[in-house]
Amino acid sequence: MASPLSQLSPPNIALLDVTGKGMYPSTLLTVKLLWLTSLVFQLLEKMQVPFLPLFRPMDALMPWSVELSAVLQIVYFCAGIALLFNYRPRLCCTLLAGCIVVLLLANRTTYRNHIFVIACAYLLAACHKPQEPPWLLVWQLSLVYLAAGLNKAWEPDWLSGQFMHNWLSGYVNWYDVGTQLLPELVFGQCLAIGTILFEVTLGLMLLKPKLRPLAIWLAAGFHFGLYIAVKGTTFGYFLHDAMILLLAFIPWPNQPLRLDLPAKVSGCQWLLRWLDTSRQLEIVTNQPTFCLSCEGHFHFTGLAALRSLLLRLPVLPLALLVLMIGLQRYAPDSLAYVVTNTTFLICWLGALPDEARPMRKRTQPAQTATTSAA
Amino acid sequence: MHKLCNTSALLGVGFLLLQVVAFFYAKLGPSRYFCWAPYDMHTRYAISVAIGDEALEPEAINARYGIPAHGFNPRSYAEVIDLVAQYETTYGEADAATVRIDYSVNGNPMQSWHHR
Repeated sequence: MASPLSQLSPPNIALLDVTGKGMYPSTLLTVKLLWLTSLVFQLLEKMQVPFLPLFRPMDALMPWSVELSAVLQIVYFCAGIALLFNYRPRLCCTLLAGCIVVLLLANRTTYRNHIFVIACAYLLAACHKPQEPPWLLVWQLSLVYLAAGLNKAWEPDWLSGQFMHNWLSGYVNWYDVGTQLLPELVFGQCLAIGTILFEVTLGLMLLKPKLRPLAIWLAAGFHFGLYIAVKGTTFGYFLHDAMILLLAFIPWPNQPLRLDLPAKVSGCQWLLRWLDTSRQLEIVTNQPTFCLSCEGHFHFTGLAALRSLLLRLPVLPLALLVLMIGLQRYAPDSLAYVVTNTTFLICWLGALPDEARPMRKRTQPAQTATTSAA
Repeated sequence: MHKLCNTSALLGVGFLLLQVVAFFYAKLGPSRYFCWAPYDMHTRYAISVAIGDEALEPEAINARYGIPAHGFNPRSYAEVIDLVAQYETTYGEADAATVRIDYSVNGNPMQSWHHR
């Protein structure tokens, strides 16, 4: 019996429509998810300015603190809503970045790396031409890991193992087991130096197109591994930010994707049309194999096609992100939270090996495709 | 190089270079703003404040500085000290408060900072 949904036309949900909107699709998806994440983690409530500003002259604005705070909140919220509805995404990203930079400079108590990285993502997303792959975001992520690693290398307590020992001793069981196998602080030292080398290597790998797919795997594994190893630590919401930022690496040509469905699954095309919120799929039924192709870009069959397809259905990462954040806020110790994170990671990582081609080469033909003005 | 042939791309690269400058600037002191130094230092601190003969409750200290009276900073001890010092030399100067911050960095021996 046919599903009632198959008789209906799927709605056009602007939030989940990321192609042909004046910004590279994966970049647009990334900034939308980052805005939603910031909202869920109450960034708006933190926008009370000025208060103990890093940029001291901002104290002169204290008499208008209430009004300025309201303006900041309104601009951030409205620009985000406009971004969700694909209205002038580059301008919205510029405004969003400006709001966060003003906040961080005007209120030093709000400074967090997981908030600053969102501002960086917004600003750099806006710096790309429409439909240009986010090469600046690649450089930004590389800079984050390089700087994080090199900063730690400057700290004597990191190099001696004191930092790790102080953090993890008595906090996680596996560390205490490790310290029984090695002299005191040596285990912590190994972890610390390993972390430094890993972050620096990761930063360098991201700059090399051929090594970038592996770097993405390693980055995802690193953050998720930290989450598992350190009792669900998300470092504010840097874990969420990092996972979302890695979505920007998906090569996503802004042109139709041909999806060939075999006869036995052709009945599912209504579901795919509902999930294809960007209206990018050209579904052809009763084909010999399951195949996803984009002329001049890629041609996947079988499981690779399925994984590649899932990556380009924005509803999937959005749904998993909502579930992940919701579970973290309301059931942080639940097994379901771990399962959801694992599912998010697997679904997203599962497609990446098939995208293992330098973004520059994969998307050069897309630059000739029809684009929409920002 | 063709990527850099537009103003917005140059702005983006300039923004990245600013972060590189911030990285090196952070090496001149203990503060760690805008330089990607998460978890460089773990600082556990306790702030005690007295205005005249009255010692402030933790809730009042939290309201005063915008940070907990007893807390943890994952970037740098200097952030806590600089924040309190800025408050006491600006908004709170008239209070003539006596402030003490006891802090330990990465489990090392406790240190103290005093204002007045």
